[in-house]
Amino acid sequence: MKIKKISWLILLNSIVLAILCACSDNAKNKKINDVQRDILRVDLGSEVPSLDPTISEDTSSLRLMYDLFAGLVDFDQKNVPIPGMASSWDISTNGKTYTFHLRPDLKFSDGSVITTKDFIYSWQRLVDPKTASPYNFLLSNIVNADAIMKGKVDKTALGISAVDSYTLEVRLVHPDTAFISYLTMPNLMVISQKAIEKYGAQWTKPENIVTSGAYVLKEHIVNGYILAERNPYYYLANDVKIPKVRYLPYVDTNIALSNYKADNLDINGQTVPVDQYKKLKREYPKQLHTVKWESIDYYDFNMTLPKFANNLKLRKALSMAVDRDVLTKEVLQAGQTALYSVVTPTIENAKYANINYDWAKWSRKKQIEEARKLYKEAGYGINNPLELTISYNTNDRAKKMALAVASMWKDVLGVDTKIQNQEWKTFLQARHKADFDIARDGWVADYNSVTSYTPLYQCGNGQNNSHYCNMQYNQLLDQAIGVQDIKKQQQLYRKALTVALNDYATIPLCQATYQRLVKPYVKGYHVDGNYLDHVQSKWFSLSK
Amino acid sequence: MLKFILKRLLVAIPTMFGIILLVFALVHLTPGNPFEGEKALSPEVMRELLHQYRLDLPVWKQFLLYLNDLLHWNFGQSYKFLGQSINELMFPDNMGGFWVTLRLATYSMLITVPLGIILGAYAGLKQNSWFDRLIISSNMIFSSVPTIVTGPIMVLVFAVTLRWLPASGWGDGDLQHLFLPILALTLAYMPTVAFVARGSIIEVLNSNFILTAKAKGLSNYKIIFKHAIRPTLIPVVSLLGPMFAGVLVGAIVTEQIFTLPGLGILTTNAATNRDYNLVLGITIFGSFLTITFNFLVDILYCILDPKIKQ
Repeated sequence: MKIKKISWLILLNSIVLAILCACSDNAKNKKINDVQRDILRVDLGSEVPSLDPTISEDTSSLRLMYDLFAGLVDFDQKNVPIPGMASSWDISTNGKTYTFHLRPDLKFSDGSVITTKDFIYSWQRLVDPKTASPYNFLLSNIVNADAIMKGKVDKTALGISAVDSYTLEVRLVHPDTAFISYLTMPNLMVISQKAIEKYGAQWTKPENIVTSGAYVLKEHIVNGYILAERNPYYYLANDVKIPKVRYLPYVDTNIALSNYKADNLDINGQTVPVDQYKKLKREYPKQLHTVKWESIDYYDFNMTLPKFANNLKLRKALSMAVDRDVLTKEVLQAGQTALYSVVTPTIENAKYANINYDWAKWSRKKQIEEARKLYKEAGYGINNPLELTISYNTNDRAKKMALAVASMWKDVLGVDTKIQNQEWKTFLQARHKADFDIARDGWVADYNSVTSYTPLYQCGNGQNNSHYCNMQYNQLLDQAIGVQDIKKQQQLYRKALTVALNDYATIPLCQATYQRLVKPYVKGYHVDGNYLDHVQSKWFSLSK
Repeated sequence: MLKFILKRLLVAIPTMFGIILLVFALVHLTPGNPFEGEKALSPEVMRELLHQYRLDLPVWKQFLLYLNDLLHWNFGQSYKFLGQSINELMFPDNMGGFWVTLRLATYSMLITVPLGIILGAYAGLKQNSWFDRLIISSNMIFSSVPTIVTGPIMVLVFAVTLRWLPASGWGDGDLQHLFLPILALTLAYMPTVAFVARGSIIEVLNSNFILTAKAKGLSNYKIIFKHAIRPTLIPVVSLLGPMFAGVLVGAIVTEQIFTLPGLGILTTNAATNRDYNLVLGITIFGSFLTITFNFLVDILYCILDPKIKQ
């Protein structure tokens, strides 16, 4: 009886195992954790919402889009724009007309030739209101773009035309020195009209897609992986060294780290688990790179509230009372740097690095004394303490920051601060409707231009969450936009940023970092100067 | 029997409608619109998106259109995966979504159920033996330690330290990639099956008809396989329907830990991305599965024990 039972058990399990083995096509041929030298495995950090570059908007999409699609302008590892599909370009004397000269050997991944018509189609599609691209504003300075986006004029009226098959003319409303930087964005890359018209919304499926970049999509399992292979028709195909790239959507940084340690991953996403950062720095000193990210963390004062709007001294005192060194080194602990400006010191290769609060250099003791003095002059004190609420979206990092800032305000000024977490959409709505005291905020620059940050402080801009408005700032921006002389333009931007800085509508906190783990056999990745974290697999090779 | 099936079906339809109405209302009561994000969209883009997703229509109209879509087995469009339908995400042409979860659930149930019944029944037969105590104590351990703990430990041991198996991913659906997730699911569900089977066989063996069989001098083999096994299975069967449906829509933690592209990971991502249409689709599909499996279990129940029909 006993033997019979055990035999049953063994038989049953053998059946199940046999089924499992039968389903494993290549199980025998594979050696787990063997590093495959013909495939790069990259973590995207999340699943890509869309493979259509025209509507892509998030960071994980960027990583993939730069491999699959190419545009007129390329960029190097320091995010500096360089010639791409356009081998050169001319700018008219008034700075309003750009003439791009396309390379003669451009082809899509299906072998069809790329000409100026394809760029015109791609850009017209971007401004078409029916496409509803969140990044259509990139072309808003092109003649008629605004009217097209508002549905007043047909998209064919866009100020872009083909001089011939390889010469493209773009007409701007006003000169813009950042225009070339915009062209590095995936939304402006060239897409196949034939594929889109044939397959509609299904054109991004692996069996239908036609790409223009270094790689072509081969497989896509949502939340599983994306596999891309070298595009033989890419204009620099001979320079692309890695035959295949596998993109993985690890949302949880702990899972990504396990895979990295188990040799199932070559490059991680944007962060490592915060609690393991220090340990990883010791374990992988040459593989873990902590890079300043082109992004800022800050708090918004609600400038529609009289208690803030009419009290510059109070805003100044609250900003000064925050110890950014403690916040970055003791609280956040992932290489973030203290921020005393409304833009990062790294934007445009440090051209605006010296716009800072003068008190940033003071000793902490002096900062505290001055903050207390200002707080008192603002009408508050021990018997009459200020009561505040910091609103943030439910998130551990945001909570840590809010707790730290609240305790600093309590210690330095005696402010009674409540912290309030809100569900993401509720938080966004409250911030949008100015229903808060102090709100968490943050911004990641899209391109290497100060204009990535300037809208944050512009009157009426949808991104200006403090609801601050100083017409002098707007006027200076308007003047800067129309100026062709780069030095003069920079001066105007500097003046504008100084106005925003001294108005204390926000509390700059820190410049974030990204923590990139790179396996030693991945060669050619110069990660440390890449502040935007715009990456292309074609830069890398895998050593034997 | 037919009357019984029809009666059950008549109850299932209004239940399903109630669930759809409730979930639809909850999703539409959430603040903000799904396209609101950190990056402010221009009013024109926002208007176009709301129009494309029919969100500019009155809610009652949206509900009627949604019901009409559901009748045509169309769960609508995803808010997050732009241009993709929920059907494509849940039931893709290639391996992914429901197909991954179905495979995972089937494999783990194929191991869990027979093994659970055998171990539980054997422990019941040998009540108070060392084997019984082993089964009870391991049941207590595995049912109190959740997958969120056992999963990462398995990854640490088998993938990171020993490097025998991959840390995560689906691969080609091969054994190496599936071994750990199946083991995690088996450890999570087998204790319950074994425990129920053990309790059931003890109860059955003490019942009068078994005592009569024993008194008549029937062999142990005949008593167990001819008389005891059928009534023993009744409580186990009642457990299987909701359990299988639960694994199909609820292997969330397992799929998350092992990054398997199934329905579970789709659910968590839909919730974190606030892809309400996808949440709606998965919830309705999950309810449909639960109702269907309960319905099948009821029928199976009737076959095993005709008394239940009355």
